[in-house]
Amino acid sequence: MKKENHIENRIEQLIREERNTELNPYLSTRVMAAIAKQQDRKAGLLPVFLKPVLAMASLTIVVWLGIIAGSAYSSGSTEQATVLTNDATAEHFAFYLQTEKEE
Amino acid sequence: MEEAESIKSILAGHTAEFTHLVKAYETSVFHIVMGFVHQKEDAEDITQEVFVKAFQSLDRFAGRSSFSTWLYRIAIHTSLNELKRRKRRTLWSMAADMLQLPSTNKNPEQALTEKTEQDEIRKAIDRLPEKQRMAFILSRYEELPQRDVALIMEISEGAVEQLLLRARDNLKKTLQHP
Repeated sequence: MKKENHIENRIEQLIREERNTELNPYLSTRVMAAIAKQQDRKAGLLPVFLKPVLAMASLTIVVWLGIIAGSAYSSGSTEQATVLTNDATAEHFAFYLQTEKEE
Repeated sequence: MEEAESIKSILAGHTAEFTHLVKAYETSVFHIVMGFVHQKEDAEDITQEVFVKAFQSLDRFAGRSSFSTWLYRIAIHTSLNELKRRKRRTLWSMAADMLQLPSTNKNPEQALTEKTEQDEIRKAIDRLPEKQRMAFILSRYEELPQRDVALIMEISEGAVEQLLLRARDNLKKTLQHP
């Protein structure tokens, strides 16, 4: 009986000692910092994941714009009259002026 | 602000409101965790983890039980999981334990005897079957009434009483015949 009481007292003493262990006064700050860190990590995860997707999308857009720009060019098949003249064989303008003087 | 309102506010994005809940329950959670791990640094780390988990799953708290009941369940499961994970204690914590002699005016021999005895009690608590250990820790470390222990463990009050009686008998048997 005496031994049983001794054991019970020792258990009680151990529990009391462990219960009286001083808790870090900044525990709530630690918890909030851990939560903030986790939220930051979550927020940061999306851009990291999106980076290759965004790169691929940009490349696709550039190629697509290139194709559109290439297709928009037309070879200019409208018919245009071209006069090929040789200045050397053209009549000299002074000839007409001379004629006017004679009149 | 009431707990339910605080929770609504946190879920609405006012994260800072969670500090009040942490401050209100940190000591209780710490006591429970301490009952499982018996070591201040480990208990603080696990207490932190308990609150982070609670924050993450706050949207799943349906309010069917009180916030404390829900939180204590998280504390128990987190402690048990951590114990399974840390089955092999690190050299550091073993060394810290060996150096952690009670700071009393007793002579070193008496202090060492006390330390050995305390280690035996800790081991005996740790060796209790899981349910008995849960009931014992909630009842003795956090001094919760049997009704609350029953709610947390989702069993009847009678079952809690039985578990506590068996836990006490097991501890006595183990410590009388180590």
